[in-house]
Amino acid sequence: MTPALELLGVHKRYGTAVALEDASLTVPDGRLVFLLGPSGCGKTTTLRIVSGFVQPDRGEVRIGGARVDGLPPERRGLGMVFQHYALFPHLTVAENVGFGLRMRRVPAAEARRRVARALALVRLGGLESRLPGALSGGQQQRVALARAIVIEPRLLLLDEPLSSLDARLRAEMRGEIRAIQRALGIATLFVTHDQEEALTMADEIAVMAGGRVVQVGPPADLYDRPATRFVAEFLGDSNLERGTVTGPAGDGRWRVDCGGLALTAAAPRTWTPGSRVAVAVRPERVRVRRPGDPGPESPANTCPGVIEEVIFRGALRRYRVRLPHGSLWSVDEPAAGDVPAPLGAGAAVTLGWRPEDCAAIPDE
Amino acid sequence: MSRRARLLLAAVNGAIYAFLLAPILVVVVVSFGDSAFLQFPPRRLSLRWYTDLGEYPDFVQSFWLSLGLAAATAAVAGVVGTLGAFALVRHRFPGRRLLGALVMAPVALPGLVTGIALLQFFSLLRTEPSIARLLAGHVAVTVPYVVRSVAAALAGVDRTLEDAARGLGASPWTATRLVTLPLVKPGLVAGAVFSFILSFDNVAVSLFLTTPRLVPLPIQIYNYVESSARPIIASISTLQVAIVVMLLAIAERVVGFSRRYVGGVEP
Repeated sequence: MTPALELLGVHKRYGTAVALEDASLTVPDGRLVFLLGPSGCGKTTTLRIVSGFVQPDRGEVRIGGARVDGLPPERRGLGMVFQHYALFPHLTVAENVGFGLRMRRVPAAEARRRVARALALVRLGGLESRLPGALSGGQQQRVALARAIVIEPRLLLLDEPLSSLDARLRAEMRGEIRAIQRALGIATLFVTHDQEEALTMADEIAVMAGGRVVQVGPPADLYDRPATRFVAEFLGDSNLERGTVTGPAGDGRWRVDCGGLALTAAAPRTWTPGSRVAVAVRPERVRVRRPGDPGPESPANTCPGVIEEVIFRGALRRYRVRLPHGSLWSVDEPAAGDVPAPLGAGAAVTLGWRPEDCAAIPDE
Repeated sequence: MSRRARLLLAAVNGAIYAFLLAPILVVVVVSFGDSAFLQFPPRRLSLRWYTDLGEYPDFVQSFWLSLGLAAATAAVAGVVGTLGAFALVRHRFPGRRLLGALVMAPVALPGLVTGIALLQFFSLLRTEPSIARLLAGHVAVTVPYVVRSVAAALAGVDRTLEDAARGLGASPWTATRLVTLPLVKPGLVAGAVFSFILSFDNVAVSLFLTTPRLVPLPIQIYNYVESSARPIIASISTLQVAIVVMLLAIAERVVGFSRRYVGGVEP
C-alpha cells in the first residue's frame, strides 16, 4: 500500500545554515508517527515542507504516492493543528470547523452534518455558536482538531498541539487524540519535543537531530536499542559509559573497559578488540543490592558504589550512585509492593545489571 | 484615590471639556436664534437659519461637494492606506523604513506647506484645477492615518491564522479576505472615519486647490465670515458638527463591537 507520506532525501538551507540534510521519513497509512527532537533539530522545517509553506532545496515529498513539491499548501489537502491552535477569532466554532468544507464548496446541509459529527467526535457538541475567545484552552484545542479532521485529509499534521496545555489536560488530550486517530484510521505526523508524549502515543518515532532523521522505529525499539548516543540520552534517562572493547566473552558478548569500570555487553553489531564504543544502561535495568543481600540472580555485571542522593518519584525511588571510577549513575528501585526499606545518602551498595541491558552504541 | 483628589480630577476634567466644547456649543445655540446677526444668547429660538439654507445655494453646493469629497477621500485613503500598511508590516524590502517615514511625512508638515507643495506639484504636471486635484490633496494628507491604524491592527494579527486558512484550502487572497481583513477592520474603519473627518473640515490643503466653481464648505465659510456675520454660518457649522458626531458614534459602534473578538486572539 502507498504510504500516506514519503519524504525522500530532503535538503534545506537558510543562507549558510543547514536546516535539513538528507532527511527521509515515511508515514504509513493509518499510523501515528512522531517526529521527535529538540528545538532547532529541523522538525519545524520538515513540517513546513510537508505542508507546503517552505520549498525544499532538494528531495521529494509524496503524499499518497503523488509528488506534491511545488504545490501550494491549499492544494495539498492536509489537516493541520497548530501549536497555538490558530482558530479564527472572528468566526464561531461551527464556522471555524466548517472553513475547510466552505473552501471545498461542500453543500451547506452536508457541511452542517459533517461539522456536527466532527464536533461530536471531539465532544464539543452544543458550542457551535461560541467564539473561540470564549472557550478554554482544552476546548480550543478540540475545535482545532475538529477543523483539521472534518475535511477527511489524507494526512494529519500536528505541530506540538499539546504544548500550551497544563500537565493534566495534556495527559487527557493524549489519550483522546490517540483514540480519535485510531477510530478514523487517519495517517498522522505528530511533531513534538516531548519524549514522554512520543513514547506513550506513537506507533513509530522518528528522532531528529541536526537536520537529520537519526533513527526510526517503534518506541520500545528506540528505547531499548538506541542507534546513537543522542537517541539514548534524548529518549528517557541513560547511564552512559565510553570505553574500549578488550575482547570476546563468548555467547556474542564482549568485554569492555570503560576507564576503570569493566563490563560485559551483549553487542548486536560486530565489534573488534580495540573499538571505541559507548554503552548505555537504563536506570530501571540496574538492581541495587544492599550489603549482605544475597541477591536472587547473578547479573554478570556488578560494581560497588555509594549513594549520593535519593530522589522520591512516587512509584520509584531514584538513587544517584557514585561509582569507583568516578561516574554518577541513576538507578531506579520500585517504591511499592514487596520492596526493601529505602536507603539513605552515604549507603554503600552493589549495582548489578545483565549484559543484555547494555545498549551498545558506536562512539561518534 | 482620596475623595479630594477625585473631586480635583473631576474639576480639571470638567474644565478641559468646557474649554474644548463650549465654543462649539455657542455656535450650535446661536444657530437656533432668530436674529439677523450672530447673537449669544439668542433672544428667541427659531429654525429660520435652517429653513433658509436653500436661499444660500453657494453653501448648499459647497456642503454637497465637501460631503462627496470626504466620502471619496475616506474610500481612496482607506484602500491605499490598507495596501500600504500590508506592504510595510508584512513585507521586508530595501527602503522599507524610509518609505514608512515618508508615508508619515504629511502628518509632521504644516498643512499650509503641504498645500503649497501640492499646488506647485500640480502646476509642474500642468494639470487643470479639478476635483481630482482636491481629492489627491486630501488623500495625501489622510493616508498616513489609515496606514498607521491599519498597520497597528495588522501587527496584532497572528500570521499562522493565514497559514491555517491556506492549509484548509484557501488561496492567499481568500485567506486575506476571509481572515486577515475582518481582523483589521476596526483599524480600517477608524482610519477611514478619521480621513473623512479630516477631509470634511480641511482648510489648509483645500485653500490652494480650490477653483471658483469648486469651493469646499470650510473655505466657503471662511470666505463668508470675512464679509458677513449672518447666523447662516452657525447653522451650516452645526450641520457639519452633527455629521462628524454621527460618524464618530457609528465608528465607535463598529470598532467597539469588533474589539470584543479581537481581544480574544491567542498571543
